[in-house]
Amino acid sequence: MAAEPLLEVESLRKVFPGHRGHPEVAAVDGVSFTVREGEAVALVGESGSGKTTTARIVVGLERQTAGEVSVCGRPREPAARVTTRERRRRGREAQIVFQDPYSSLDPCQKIGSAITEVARLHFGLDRAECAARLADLLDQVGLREQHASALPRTLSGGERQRVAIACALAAEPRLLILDEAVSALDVSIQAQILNLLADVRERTRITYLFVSHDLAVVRQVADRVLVMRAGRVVEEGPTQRVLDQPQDPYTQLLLDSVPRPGWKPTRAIA
Amino acid sequence: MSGLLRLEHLQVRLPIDGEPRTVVHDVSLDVSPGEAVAIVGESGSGKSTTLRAVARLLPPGSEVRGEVLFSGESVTAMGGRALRQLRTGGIGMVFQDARANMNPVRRVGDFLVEALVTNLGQSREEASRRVASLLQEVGIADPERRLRQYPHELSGGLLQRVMIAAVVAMEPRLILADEPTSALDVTTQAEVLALLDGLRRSRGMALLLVTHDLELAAAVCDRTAVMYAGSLVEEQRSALVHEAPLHPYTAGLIESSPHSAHGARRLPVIPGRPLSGLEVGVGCPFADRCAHVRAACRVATPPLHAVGAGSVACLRAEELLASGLEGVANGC
Amino acid sequence: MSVIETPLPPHPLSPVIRRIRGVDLVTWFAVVVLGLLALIAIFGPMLAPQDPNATNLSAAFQGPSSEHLLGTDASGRDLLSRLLAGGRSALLAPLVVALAATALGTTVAVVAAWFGGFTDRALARCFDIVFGFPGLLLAILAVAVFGLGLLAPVLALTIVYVPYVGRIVRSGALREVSLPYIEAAKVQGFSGRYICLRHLLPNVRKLVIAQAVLCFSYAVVDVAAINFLGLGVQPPQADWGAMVASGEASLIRGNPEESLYAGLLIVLAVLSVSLLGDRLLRNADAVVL
Repeated sequence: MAAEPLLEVESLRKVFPGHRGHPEVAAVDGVSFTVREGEAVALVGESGSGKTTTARIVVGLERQTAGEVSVCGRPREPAARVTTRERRRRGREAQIVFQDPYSSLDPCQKIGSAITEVARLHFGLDRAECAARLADLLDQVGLREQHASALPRTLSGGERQRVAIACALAAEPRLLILDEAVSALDVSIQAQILNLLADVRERTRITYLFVSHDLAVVRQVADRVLVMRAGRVVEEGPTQRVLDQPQDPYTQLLLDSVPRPGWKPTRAIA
Repeated sequence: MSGLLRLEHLQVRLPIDGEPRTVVHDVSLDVSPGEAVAIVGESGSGKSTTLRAVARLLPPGSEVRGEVLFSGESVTAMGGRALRQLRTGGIGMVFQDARANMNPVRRVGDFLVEALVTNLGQSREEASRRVASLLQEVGIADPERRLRQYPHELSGGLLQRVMIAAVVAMEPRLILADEPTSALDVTTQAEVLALLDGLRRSRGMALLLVTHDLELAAAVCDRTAVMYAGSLVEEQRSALVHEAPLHPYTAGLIESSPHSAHGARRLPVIPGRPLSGLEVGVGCPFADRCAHVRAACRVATPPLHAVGAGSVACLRAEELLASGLEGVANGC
Repeated sequence: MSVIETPLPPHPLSPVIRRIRGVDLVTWFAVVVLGLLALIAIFGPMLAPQDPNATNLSAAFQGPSSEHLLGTDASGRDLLSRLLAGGRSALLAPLVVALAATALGTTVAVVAAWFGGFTDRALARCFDIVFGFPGLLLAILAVAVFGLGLLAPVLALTIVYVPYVGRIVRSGALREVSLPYIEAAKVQGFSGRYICLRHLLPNVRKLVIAQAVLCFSYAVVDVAAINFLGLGVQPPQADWGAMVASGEASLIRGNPEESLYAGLLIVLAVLSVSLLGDRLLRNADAVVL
């Protein structure tokens, strides 16, 4: 693996201030990892593990308390204000797709406009180029051209998630973060979206950072896994190895908790 | 045959935009005393509506046709008192979101005491003595402290346990559970399911579990019923569902689940999106997504009929079963 | 290629509650009355059959006749003409108040919601403080400082009504700002200003419109009061509020027409506007919540 490190996270720490008598919480507590160009890495954990906070810091939606994040070799300072130039460059470096397809699209904006808006911002396309890019992106995510003039309200959850992916891809990011992007979808739609992500990766060599609680999904999409618990990484390694021969007892517990044929739920293992 | 719960051609119409529209088309299902049955389906399949019809928890303006029989009595015909009796002693209900079903300004202890007082007619003292042991039974450590806390101080998993405690305390003969663990983390889910399963078995209660997760259904239920677009399309022993699904839809669900993929780069998928009961026309509701569709499938809705030990609503079930139901979900 | 999901009917399980379908009778009433009032405000002075300020003391207190359809006032001026002419100040001044307060309130609210934190707390506190001022008193004070006429009270009322719009719009905007579609736009590289104008405002527009309409109805009452007190429009200029006041003396002597008609028009305007605003607000909440 001689690929360049695309995302470097070093001793990342995020403390949320406590309020109303609650103590402050370290949501992310000393997390370090590297994602190389073209890799698909998954952050796995349960709620409160800090996986989502980590992802949000990477794309700049939260500011870290301490630690360093570098994308494409350039550190992302946790500054309150960034220049227009810097903001757009960051947009072309990393994009994110959220979990809930119902709230991640502007309800007032037509699908086509949502997608071309991003493409125009980053690449200053004229009208014809915009139309071509829109057709290309819709095709990539498996939507039809008629969808361009639809409002999000008229689309199903799976279709909305395709639109969200198209919007993210419109910036041609090198890193795409998927924050539980398939966990709100029906089983039969989930498979379609996972395949779509696999296709995109094959075509563009994009780098993925999955944030997920679903080990089956992770096994399907990720090359490498980081298991997080209470703000720390407890185990890291190639997907196959971590999920087949877990070293950490918590990883084992997670694996044992997944319902599967022949599985019986057991009590008080934690 | 004396089932505990019996649904006969249940059809439910819900008021949507002021007009009643059919959400559940045809569900026939039996639950015997002490048996656990799962209803599995995707969004819009009508699984939750079916469950709510059993407890008569449908919004005003809904219409129910067909029959819901609870130990021989028609639930649809029940009046106020009979209904109250049904809900306090006959059936107990566990919802997905425990938090939304508890008064946020009352302590957990008060919630449980009130449940016992109003539903079992116990005295307040008697009830307060009992709640601590109830919490212990559902695996909550330090019950005394928990009883004094408010719902917002407890995690989702703990609250779901409290709900289960409240339901189990009434010793219902049937527990209705609507996605009881889908809001919980996997490890918590395993524990809550184990708890529900253990309590149910030790007291001989029946369970009707609604879930979107076939694997989960198979793990805790004796039988699994699969719903699609408002109709029951398959029903058989859970142990067999994964090995020998009867309906192409079930087969497709299993194949497209990443659980069963073993390193394939692409998952087999069922094309299209799940239909809701509202969108169903003539013919098999699954026809447009089915790889085995024939002209006959589009003519009339296939009836649920017995195949082997289960039943299925597919015209080609026998034929497909003989040839092995594979390649339902295609590779594209 | 992945398979396309089939047709495009409105998704049946869409969480967005659909708009109220039919428009009810009350709303129709409000819209029709408002339409008529708007016509009066715009074309009233032109429609007036006679000069609204022409006095004829020998024709005082006449009843309805073919010459004076609604009769005359104490100075023998044609009441219909005065009512038609008096709508402009009675309705346009509140309109200016409502528009200006809405523009200002919405801007401040969106800025507060967008920046959050200290900015939000400070601006919200400002809203609370201004909200505490009694509008009418401030308007009277403004007249005392800047002199008679409508300009000073309109400015004062505008400031007072800013929080009426701002507080509600801010809470709606706060809800939107935390939604993923706004966060996605941030990550996509759009500027805060662009996101606010292009995404945030359209999604709180229903609240803005509903509050603007309610504001207008409050302002109609306040402006009428100012004119009633004689602090705004000066005689002989016709105005509904002023007419209620000038008809007062005749009212006692058994000629209630002037006060009655003018008062009735004010009540109609306020009633129809607040009914409409109320329905718009309910509609907006159904969609935003």
